[in-house]
Amino acid sequence: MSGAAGVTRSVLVVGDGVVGLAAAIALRRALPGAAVRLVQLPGDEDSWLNRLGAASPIIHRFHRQIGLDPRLFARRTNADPAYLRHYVRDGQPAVREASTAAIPFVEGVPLHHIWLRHRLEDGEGAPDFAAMLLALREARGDEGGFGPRFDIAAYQGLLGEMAAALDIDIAAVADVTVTADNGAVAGLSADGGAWLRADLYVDAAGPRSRLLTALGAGWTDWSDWLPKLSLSMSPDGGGAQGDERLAYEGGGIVWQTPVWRAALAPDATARGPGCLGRCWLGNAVAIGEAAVRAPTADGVGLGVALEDILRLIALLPRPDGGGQEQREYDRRAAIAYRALADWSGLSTAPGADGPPGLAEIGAAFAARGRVAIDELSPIQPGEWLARLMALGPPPRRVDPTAWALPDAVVRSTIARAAPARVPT
Amino acid sequence: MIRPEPVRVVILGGGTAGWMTAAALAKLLPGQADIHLVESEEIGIVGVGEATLPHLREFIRRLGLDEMDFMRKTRATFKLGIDFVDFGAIGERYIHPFGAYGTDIAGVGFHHYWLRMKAAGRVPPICDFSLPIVASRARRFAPIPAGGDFLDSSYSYAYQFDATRMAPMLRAFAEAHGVRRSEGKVVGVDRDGTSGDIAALRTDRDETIAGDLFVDCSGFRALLIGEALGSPWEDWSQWLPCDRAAALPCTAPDGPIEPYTRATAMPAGWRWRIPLQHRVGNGYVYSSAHLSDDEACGAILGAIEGEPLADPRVLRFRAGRRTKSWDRNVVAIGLASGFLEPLESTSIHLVQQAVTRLVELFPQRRIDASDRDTFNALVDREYDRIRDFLILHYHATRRDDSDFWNHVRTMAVPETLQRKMDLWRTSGRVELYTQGLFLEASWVAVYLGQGVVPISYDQRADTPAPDRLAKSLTELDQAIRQRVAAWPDHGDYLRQAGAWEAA
Ligand SMILES: Cc1cc2nc3c(=O)[nH]c(=O)nc-3n(C[C@H](O)[C@H](O)[C@H](O)COP(=O)(O)OP(=O)(O)OC[C@H]3O[C@@H](n4cnc5c(N)ncnc54)[C@H](O)[C@@H]3O)c2cc1C
Repeated sequence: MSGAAGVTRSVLVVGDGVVGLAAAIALRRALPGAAVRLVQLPGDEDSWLNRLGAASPIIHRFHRQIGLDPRLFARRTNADPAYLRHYVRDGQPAVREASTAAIPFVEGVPLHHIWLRHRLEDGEGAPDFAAMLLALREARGDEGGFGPRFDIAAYQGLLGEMAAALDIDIAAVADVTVTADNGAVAGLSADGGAWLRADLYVDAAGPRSRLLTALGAGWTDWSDWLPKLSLSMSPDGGGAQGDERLAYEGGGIVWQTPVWRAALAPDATARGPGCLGRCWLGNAVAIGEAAVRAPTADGVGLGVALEDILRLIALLPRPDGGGQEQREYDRRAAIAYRALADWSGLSTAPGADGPPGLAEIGAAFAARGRVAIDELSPIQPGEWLARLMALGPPPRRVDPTAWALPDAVVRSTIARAAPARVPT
Repeated sequence: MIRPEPVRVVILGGGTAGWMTAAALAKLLPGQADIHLVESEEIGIVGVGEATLPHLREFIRRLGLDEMDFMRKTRATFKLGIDFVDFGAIGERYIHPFGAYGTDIAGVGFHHYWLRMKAAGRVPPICDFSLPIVASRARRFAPIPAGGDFLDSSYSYAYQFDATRMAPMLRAFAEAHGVRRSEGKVVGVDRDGTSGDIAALRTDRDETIAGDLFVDCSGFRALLIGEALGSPWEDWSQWLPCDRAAALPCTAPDGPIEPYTRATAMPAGWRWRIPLQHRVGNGYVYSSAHLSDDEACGAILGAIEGEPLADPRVLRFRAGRRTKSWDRNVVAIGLASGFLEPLESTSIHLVQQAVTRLVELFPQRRIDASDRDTFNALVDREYDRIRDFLILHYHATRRDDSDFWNHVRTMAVPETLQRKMDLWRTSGRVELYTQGLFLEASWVAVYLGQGVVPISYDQRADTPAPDRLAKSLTELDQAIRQRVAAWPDHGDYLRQAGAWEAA
């Protein structure tokens, strides 16, 4: 081919947390001819993704892509697939949320509207909406639930072994300095000495990241919309398999899973939420917490980081390309990050105003139960539906298509969920 | 009373748009919508619009219509794609199929591997790797088997039907589902004194039809959204200069029936050829700035391959859409809401989309502004994406044989299209979206079909060893040929499946 004939011969990934390791492995698989190197930095206390063992179901697709056996993952990391969440809020009855990826339809009518109609007609006797989703889960099989909860240190160890087996070179350094030239990274100097150069630089250094800001990318601060929370983890797992419990107390959340317990507490000194204005400049791209930070009390934070890796690989440019793939990457990443911000607002501070996008989503849902999200949102419409039904005010209006359904269809749809499990 | 009162819906117009709307609302919202349609036989319908898209099958399924009965009543044939002739350059042709080329390998799109092999000079044309294209060329057809293999799921199909028979068929269905119909010409529109909303329509037969929601399906006249409400029009003729068509049906030739529509580029536009069971639809879509009506009629008369069944009929239109398809309590659907030339058979699809959205956002007696805004945003997005795709067909050309082609080749295109073309040219990648009508496979088909070959491709496609890749391409090519060879002739299949209407 004329013009852009270059191939990526070397990749340097900065950061050996789960995101850095996962990126290095995925790039190694995608570019068998390229040398992949990883720069290991000292642990970062501000990182959530390296401490919170939770992912959204995207992790299963990611594992398939890198060839990681799901059973090996489950065994080594003690993973528990979450599929039922219990929310406890001050002075309110507990609410359950079950998982679904797509919005379920029955005879062309969204399931939640059938449920809403039944609730209006029959009042108290209705099962909760989670029971409806659980019944579907039994009938159709699991779509991945909320994703696994697992031991993050074991996961990092497993990825480290994989990286070593794939000949990924790991260099431990205390710090790196970036030399920029003409909008691109000319090289990194490790501990003020040795030069590290590559065709592509992937910044997975987490919250302390510097690569993209060294190239002039700005940071958009979201602390007006989202809470500043700090995360502390304790290994005390508890509760039934597949169940997790979220207690909202004093502006924070205590999140109990069978594998561990996390406490998200308001903390004015915590690193604030936000995202980079541009994530890919020249030969450097920032992923994971280096690119976006928003607190989540579920696995979506890591899920979005894994989507970054998949997007980066799908759009991998040639070193001498014209920058169009980078632009497309930024367009898709911006959509994903806005979705993460909205999701973070809904889940960590339900009832608060949150980002402007969330206000719109909330208004559309409250008015008539529409899930009005972007077509490229990494958080699926069904995930939004389940959470809005659990945390948001229920829609004011039942969809006319639900009123048009014959009574028998409504009754049989509800009856499938009626032998509901007793809420724990 | 929990259950909301039914909304009184008045539909003005009984063309394809009017009766599709009436049929869908009656079927999907029984008891929720009380529907009254008014139309004028004297004015009549456009009656062109013969080629469709695969989504129409979903519409037919949701209404619960029998596919073969529908095909018999509308004298329909199957459609696997569109054959574009002379667009990239005179003498070149390609089929834009309903389906993708090849299959992804290791998560990388097939066309990247094809581009690699092409650069190495050892690959047959990409159309050989598409089942619907190979079947089209062989004039064969088979339905999609349930639970088939990767080839069976590599294509889709639509219909080519007689547009004058669609509305009567849907009318019978809608009336059986409780839709009331009035004959008469609407001569007056009553507005509510305080809100300014439309309150009722008055006909030349002294009938007054009151409603809560009015659906304007009055065609190019746009009696309610345009004439009554004056809702602004966004004009796109700077990019899509064709503004007329000379339509001319002719007799069907003996022999095999093409399971595809043909679009042939002409000096001042292009012409369609749509084979039905009983005749062939033809028409020259042209720019009146570049060609007179007489010249267009002469050109289409000279181009048809059968005996003319009428005199050429000239239709006038403008490319563009309303800035608000839903304004106050009026929803415009069909030609009243906008027009995009039938180069990719999108108009009936736009009707179907609008009807689906209206069902999703169906209002109460008092209309909520946010439903209206959402509807308009969704309709706009659909129109805008199709617009860019259509412009590509004109702009991606090397033709320099007429003023018309020189204009479209050199014009500035919308920024949204320029960005997509830049991404493709440099990387062989297609801007991702999931909701539009034409997704990656369609863009790849038109780019490559019209000679826009990118300077690069996904470097992951370099991974497989050359011989292994060549072997798997050969195997795919053979598998497609063998599959198509086992398919029946299209015309035979129509008869054997019971889709044929004995004349
Ligand atoms: C040249 C050409 C080719 C086309 N090819 C295709 C194609 O291949 N594929 C495709 O999908 N689409 C195609 N279309 C578009 C397609 O024809 C239309 O989308 C479709 O027919 C819907 O038209 P309509 O119902 O909106 O308008 P019309 O068919 O014009 O119906 C208008 C209705 O309103 C009524 N009416 C108007 N004024 C009054 C009044 N004052 N009082 C009472 N009633 C009134 C009329 O009687 C009529 O019933 C083509 C269009 C053109 C112009």
